[in-house]
Amino acid sequence: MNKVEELRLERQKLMDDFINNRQPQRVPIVSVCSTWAYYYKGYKPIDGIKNDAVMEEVVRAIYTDFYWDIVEIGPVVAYRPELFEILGGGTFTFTEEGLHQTNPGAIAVMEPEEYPELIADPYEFLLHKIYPRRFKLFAHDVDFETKFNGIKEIFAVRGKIAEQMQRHNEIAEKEFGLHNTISGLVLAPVDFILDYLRDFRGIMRDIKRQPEAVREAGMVLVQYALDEVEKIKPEPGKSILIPMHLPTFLNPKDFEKVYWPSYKKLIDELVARGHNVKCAFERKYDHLFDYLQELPKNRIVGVFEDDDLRLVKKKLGNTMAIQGGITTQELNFCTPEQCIDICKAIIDDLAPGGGFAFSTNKAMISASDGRAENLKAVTEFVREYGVYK
Amino acid sequence: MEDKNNTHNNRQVLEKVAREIMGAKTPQEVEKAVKELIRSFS
Repeated sequence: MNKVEELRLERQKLMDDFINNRQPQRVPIVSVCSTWAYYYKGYKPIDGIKNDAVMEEVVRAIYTDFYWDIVEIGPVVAYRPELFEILGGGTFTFTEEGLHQTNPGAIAVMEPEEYPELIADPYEFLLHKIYPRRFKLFAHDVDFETKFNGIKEIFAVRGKIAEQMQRHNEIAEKEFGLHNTISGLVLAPVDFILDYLRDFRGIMRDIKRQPEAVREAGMVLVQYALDEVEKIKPEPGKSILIPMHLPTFLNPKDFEKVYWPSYKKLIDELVARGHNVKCAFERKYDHLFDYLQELPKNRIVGVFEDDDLRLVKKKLGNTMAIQGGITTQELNFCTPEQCIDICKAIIDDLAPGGGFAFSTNKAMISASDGRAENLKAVTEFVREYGVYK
Repeated sequence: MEDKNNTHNNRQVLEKVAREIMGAKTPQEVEKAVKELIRSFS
């Protein structure tokens, strides 16, 4: 076994200990450097989409210039404008720089009275009702050959994305000994309805006017989510990632009624199959901590975007491992010394006993998600200071 | 009014993709591949 693989296995163990709330040798340092990496090197994400050599240059630069143990999100751009041009629509729009964002008005193509159809058969509902509305390629007046050839083109584009992902993983693991901690991604069922079918205004109305339908649809969509990760084998130090979007906007009563049942069922089933689960709690969740305490113990990683991590540790430290430490705003606006002070304090308060990994509070996507000198300062600091004695 | 032919058309297209591009052979494999395709567009 070569030294790079030894290093990767050492880091895998760090992550395995962290996830299972055991004290590792030191605090793992997790990279969520996404498309920020292109700006760091003077490029834009579109340059990486168009040119494999630029992607590789950016990937090597991020992993050479900053210290990491773990890769969670890398710089490869997963969504490309050409995919949606071929499909003739979609829920995203793209900036000139190659970043994607939600396309206003493009999500809510499901009518509120269609919950029974969604519940009866989500797959047929998507194929028969949603996709013809969302994608010109699937419209009723498009002929068979055009659809088939369009899907072939989509496969070709997806193949290029997959090749870049594989290349990134090879570089990260075999050249830098980094452990890749994410094995798959699913949406919580009710977030699927929010993000792909009803949009925010629609689902908030549905929750008030027909909560039982939203709840039941969520329960049916648990299997849809499980189908997505069926082929993934559980591995130590790896997790299935669940980004969470809606709960920050829900009061506890509505959360318990419509979101929690399917979310809890999904997580329980993933854990029963041997997986760890990483929940990205986007925005604030302190109003729901009592529920989160019921999640399976020592199989969950919580990444909290806006919550006070000290309060998280107090309320949830016995249930889940906690990842974070510095916000992208702090990384962008503070001095290196201030950033180091922030990291020192968070390690002092969260690291004792284990169950803490360092990262930014969310993915570094745009140029303003951090200054390079700050990122360098904090990763080097945590590497030295985060050793358990 | 949605065209019922569209339902069969979309499903038939995905079944052809499942067989000719994804290599599915048995009815069970074809159905699994079709579901994978449906999920891939969401």
